[in-house]
Amino acid sequence: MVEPLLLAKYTRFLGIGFFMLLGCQKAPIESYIIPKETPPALPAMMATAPSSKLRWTIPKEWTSQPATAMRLASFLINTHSREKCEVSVVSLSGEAGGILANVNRWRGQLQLDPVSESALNNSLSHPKLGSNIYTTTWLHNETKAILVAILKVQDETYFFKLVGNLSDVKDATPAFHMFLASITSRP
Amino acid sequence: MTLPIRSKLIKIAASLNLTVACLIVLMILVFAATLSQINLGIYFAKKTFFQTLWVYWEPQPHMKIPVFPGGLLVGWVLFVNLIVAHVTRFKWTFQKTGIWLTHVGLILLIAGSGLSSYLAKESQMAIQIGETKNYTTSAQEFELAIISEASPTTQQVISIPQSSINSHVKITPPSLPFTLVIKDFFSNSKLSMNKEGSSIATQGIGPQIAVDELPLDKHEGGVNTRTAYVEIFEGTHSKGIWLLSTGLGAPQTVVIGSKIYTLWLRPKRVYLPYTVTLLKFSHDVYPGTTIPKNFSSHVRVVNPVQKETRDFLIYMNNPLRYQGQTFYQASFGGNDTLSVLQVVQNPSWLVPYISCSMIFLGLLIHFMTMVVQRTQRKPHAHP
Repeated sequence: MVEPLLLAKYTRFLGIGFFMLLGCQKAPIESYIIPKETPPALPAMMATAPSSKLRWTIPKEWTSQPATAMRLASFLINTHSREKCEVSVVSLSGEAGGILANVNRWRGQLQLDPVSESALNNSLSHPKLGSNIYTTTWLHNETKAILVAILKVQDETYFFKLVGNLSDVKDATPAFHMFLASITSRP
Repeated sequence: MTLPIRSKLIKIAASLNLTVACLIVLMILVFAATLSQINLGIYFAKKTFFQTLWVYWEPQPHMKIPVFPGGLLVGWVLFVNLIVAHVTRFKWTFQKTGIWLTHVGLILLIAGSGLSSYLAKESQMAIQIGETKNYTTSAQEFELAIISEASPTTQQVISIPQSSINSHVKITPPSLPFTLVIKDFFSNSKLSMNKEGSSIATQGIGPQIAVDELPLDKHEGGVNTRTAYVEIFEGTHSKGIWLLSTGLGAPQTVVIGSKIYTLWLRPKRVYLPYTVTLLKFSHDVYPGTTIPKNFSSHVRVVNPVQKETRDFLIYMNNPLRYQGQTFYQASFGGNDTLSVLQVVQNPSWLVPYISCSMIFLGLLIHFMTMVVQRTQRKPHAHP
C-alpha cells in the first residue's frame, strides 16, 4: 500500500493536468507570416473580358463559359436546385435602346406586363458597388427571376444579367454583388 | 484530521465498482453516439458525446441542461481510477508481470485516446489539377483572418479562432491598431438580396445583403454559412460595420491610417512549410460500369526549407506521410479535375499501437504464467 500523502501528491498532479486540459479548449489568437497570396481568386478564377474595357474577379462558385458574338462573357452558377442559373455580360454602344425598352423586354421574358416610364423609375435602384454606381432592377414571377445591373463606361453600356430560378437567383445575389464590386476599368 | 477523508476518497477512487460503472457509462455513450449519427455527423457526435464533460439536453435554444456524463469526464475518472487502483492495490511479483503489463497498457490506451482528442487535427486540401497549395482547410471550424502586408513578399495573418467569435464580444488582437466588436453572429445563415437601408452593415458589400439565421446543420457533410456583423473601432472612433460571411467566398478591406487590412471570415486554414501540387488525378471505374475502382492523386511536394522536391502517388489505403501530416485520398469533384485529400496530424498516433501491444503481451505472459503454474501443480493434485 502506497502512503496516502504520496498518493495525494499524484492526485494533485492529475487535478492540475485536468484543469490545464480544460483550459486548453479556448484557442488563442494566432499570428503568423505567410508568402504573399493573391486574394481569394485563385488563378482559375481570375479573368477579364479581353475585348472589353473592364476587368473583374469571378466568384469561386462560378464557371466561365466561352464568349459568344453577343456576349462578352457568361458564367454558370452551381445551384442547389441544379437548374440552370447564369450570369451574362453584354456590351452595347450608346444608350442601347434605352432602359425602359430593355426592362420591358426582360419583363416579357418572365411573362410580366410592360411598365410605364414612371413605374420603371420606382423599380430602379442605384447602388454603389466597389468604385462604380450601377442602375439595377429586380424582376421576377412566381418561379423565375432576373437581376440586371447596368453600367455606363464612356460611350458603352454594359449589362450584367443574372437569370435563373427565383430561389437560385436570390442565393446567387451576394456573389453577383461581389462580382459587380470587383469590376474596374482596364488600365 | 483529514487523513480519514483522504483515505475514503482514495478507497472510492480505487474502487473496482467505479471502474465497472465507468465502462458501462462508456458503453452507453458509444451506443448513443452511434445512433445519433443518423442526425449528427461524426464531428458533432464526437463533440456532443465525447469531447465534453457532460451530455446536454437543450429544451430551448441557448438553454443547456447536463443530463449524462460526457466522454471527457468519464475518461478522466477512469484514468484516475486505474492509476489509483494500480498504485494502491497492486503488489508486484514476478507471477503478476502479465497483469501489470496489461494494466499499464490499458492506462496508456485511455491516455492516448485523451491525447488524440486534444492533439489530433483533421483538415482537408481540395486541390485542382495543376494547382499548388501551402495550406489545408478545416471542414467545420472557421476563423476571422485579418491580413496585412508585412513586406513586399509576405503577409501577416492574425487568425481569430471561432471560439472567440460570438455576439456582443469585443476583440483586441495583439499588434493591430484597431478593435473589433462582434455586433451579431450567426452559426448558420442564408444570404439574400436586401432592401437598401435595412441592414445594420454600413461598409463593404454588407448594406446590399440580408441575413436570415438558420439552425446549425449538424448532418454529415452539412455546410454552415457563418456570418457576423463586425464593427471596427480605431481608438474610440467607429470605422463602420462590415458584414463578414463564409458565404461571400471573398474578403473585404478596411483602411486604418495608411494601411490596408483584409477581413476574411473563412474556413480555418493550417499553413504548411511546404507546397503540394496536384499533377494528375485518376478516377478508374470497373469496365462497362460507373462503379469506382480506384482514385489516385499524383502530387509533387516542394519543401524549400529542406531543399527537397518529391513526387508521390496517393491512393486508397496508400496515404502520403510527410512531416507529421498524413494525406489520405478522401474525395473528388469538378468532373475529375479536383481531388480532395484528408489531412491528419496526430502526434500521438503511435500510442494506441504501443498500448495494444502491451496489453497483448501482458495477456500472453499472464496466460503462459498460468499454464506453467498449472502444469507445476498437476503432479501434487494426483499423488
